[in-house]
Amino acid sequence: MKNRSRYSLAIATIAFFGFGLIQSPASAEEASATLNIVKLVANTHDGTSNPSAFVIHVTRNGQEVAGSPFSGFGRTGQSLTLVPGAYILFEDPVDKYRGEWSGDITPGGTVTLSAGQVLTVTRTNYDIGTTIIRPVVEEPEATVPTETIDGGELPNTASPLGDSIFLGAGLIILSVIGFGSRKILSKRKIA
Amino acid sequence: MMVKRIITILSTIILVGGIAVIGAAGLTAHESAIEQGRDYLPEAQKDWQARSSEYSAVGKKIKAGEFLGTIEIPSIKRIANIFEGTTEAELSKGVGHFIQSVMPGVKDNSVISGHRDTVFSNLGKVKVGARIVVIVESGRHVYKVERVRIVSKDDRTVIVPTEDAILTLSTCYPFAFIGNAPERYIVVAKLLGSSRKSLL
Repeated sequence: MKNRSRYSLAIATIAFFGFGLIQSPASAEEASATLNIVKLVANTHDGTSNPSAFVIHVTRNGQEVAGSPFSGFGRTGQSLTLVPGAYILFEDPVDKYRGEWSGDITPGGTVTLSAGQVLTVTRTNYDIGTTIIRPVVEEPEATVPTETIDGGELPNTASPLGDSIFLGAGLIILSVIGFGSRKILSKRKIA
Repeated sequence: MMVKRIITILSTIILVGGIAVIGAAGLTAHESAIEQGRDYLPEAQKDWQARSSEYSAVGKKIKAGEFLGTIEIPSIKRIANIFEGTTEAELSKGVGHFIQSVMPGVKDNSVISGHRDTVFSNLGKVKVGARIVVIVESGRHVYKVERVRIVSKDDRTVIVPTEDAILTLSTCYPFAFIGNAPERYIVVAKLLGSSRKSLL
């Protein structure tokens, strides 16, 4: 009986340590980390989309994590509890928008989480708007002639200045005549 | 009573309009005077100096509105900046070099035009024999006035090729004329000598 109980204890011990040995790596993975994903949309041109129009994927080793892809969150963010490791985040393209990652993430979208870490990443999308291509207006560059043109038209060197002064003076004279006629009308009325 | 009120309102509007037009003209004249008084030469001379070894009037590229140099007429105490082109944009800043004419200082006819009421307002006082000094990238060129003439604005015998190095100045005539003057005042000067950086 005594031997039997010793045997049982040995099995239990082996089982305990064995379980421990088997579970140790799993426990390390389960020591979770937190990833907060914030979504911002800047409509500075003619864009009208809101954060819910954008879909973000979170993958690890090419596999989407539970719940991914995500959409419909914004400034408040989407909080994920993940096992430590490297994750790649990407977003489905949306027409007329470009996006940028910022925060605890590489520009290419890689996040590396350590146990217990809380990281926050932000995906900001900017509306591109309609691209207007304006022609570059440059003064034409010409080669200085080596010979003067024969029979060239004389440039018009009339200055608009004199005409403006003449017009202004004419208007003032006209107004003086107007005020004068008003006085004449008053005198006639009195007479 | 009603007529008087209408006349008062109209006269007031016309008076304000007249003052505004004269005020705007005065402002333009003021800005133009500031621009005309600007001394571009020292800065330009630095550039000319920097590229002096490569200068050649032949094949030289130039843009409309580009500063070319200065013209001085000592007898009427007038110095003006020369710009490439003879549109209002250039003439409001100084005098304009007629694009289809050669540069000053070289053989052939170089034509320069200016407003009759600003830079060339006293051109009528320039006598035969007077000196005109032009400083451009190719050097300093001294001309002597050979003749003065008044032609129709449509005259096609002024801007023509010449055997000698000629400088032709043109402005509207009569000097005191409202609107587009029907004639042009022409001063023709011949090159006396140049202090050139490089010969063509």
